[in-house]
Amino acid sequence: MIEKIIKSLIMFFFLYYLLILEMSYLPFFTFVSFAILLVLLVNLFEEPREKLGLFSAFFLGLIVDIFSSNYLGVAAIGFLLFALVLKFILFKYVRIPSISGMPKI
Amino acid sequence: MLLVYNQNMDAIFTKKRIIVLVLLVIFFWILSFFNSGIKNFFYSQSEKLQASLWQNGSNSSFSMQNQEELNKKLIEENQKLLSQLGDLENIQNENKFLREALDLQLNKDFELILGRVMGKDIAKDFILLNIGSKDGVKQGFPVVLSNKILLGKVIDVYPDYSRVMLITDKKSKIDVEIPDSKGFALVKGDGGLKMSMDMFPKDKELNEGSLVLTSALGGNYPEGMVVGKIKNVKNFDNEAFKKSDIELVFNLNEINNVFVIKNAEIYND
Repeated sequence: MIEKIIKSLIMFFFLYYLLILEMSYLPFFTFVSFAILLVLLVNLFEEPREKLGLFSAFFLGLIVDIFSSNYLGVAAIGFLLFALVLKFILFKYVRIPSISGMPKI
Repeated sequence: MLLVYNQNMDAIFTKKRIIVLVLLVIFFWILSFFNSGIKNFFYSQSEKLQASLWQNGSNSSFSMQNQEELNKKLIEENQKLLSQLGDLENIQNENKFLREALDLQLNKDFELILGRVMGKDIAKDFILLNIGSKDGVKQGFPVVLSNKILLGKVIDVYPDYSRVMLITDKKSKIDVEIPDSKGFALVKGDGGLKMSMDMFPKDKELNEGSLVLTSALGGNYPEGMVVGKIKNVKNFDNEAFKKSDIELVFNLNEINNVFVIKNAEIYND
């Protein structure tokens, strides 16, 4: 449990500083957001049973809400739902053992 | 093991997940009452880091250019400027005298608040400033550069910070005039630091490079602020008006300080 909390906290602060870096130092690399890419990759490559992808999507959404004119929670819940749907699709329909690590149904 | 997976992944919305989502919605709904306070707290935590990163970022944009070429250009410019300096000093004295005589201070028209750019928003056409309601900033205040170049307007205000919607944002619409052609038109933001002009009368001539200024018609912005330059004039037979792209006259990467114009009662929406 503690390990999971630490993992999530590290993820939160990593995403927080990554987004600040993107907004302040690399503001013109708008064609790709490294933070969004990272969260997408975590969700794609972790086992569907794991929850780090969901947490990271939620945290990224929360940070995006903080640094945009959104109300808090709009992107946080939106990204979380997106990650949930992505995981579901990966589990149900994508049969790539290296990605899902799951036995075929 | 498979059973565990199936329990987790057979449906997207299990009972547990729905409860968590509902709780999250309630939690964020309560948080929305403290929206500006929370955001202000996070901005204050990252202000120094953001400001220094923005400054370093804008400085490093020069390093991408050919240093030798830049150096040569600067020496030439320096020589030219030195020769102009003597003349300017005389003109400045004369100008000062005339200003005093006519009582025409630059800040007479507008009350200005100086702000520093902290970063560009994740949503592209927004920037964050280090001045907020404590400094007298209000929603709708226009934001300009020192040389009367229009940057945008304040859309969100927090106690110590404010968010500016750039004129290139898709929601931005500005009534403009083109002094060269003596015509009025509408400039719309296209997003991604791009703008275009529409509704320019077909019977009037529109030249590339003409300066586009804000007009008093819209009332959102002060009159006579520089919006950009005309680029790629489009004159289609089947359309009632002329269109064109607008070339920006500022480089966001090089902007550190901006002015917020305080005259809200005149220029608010």
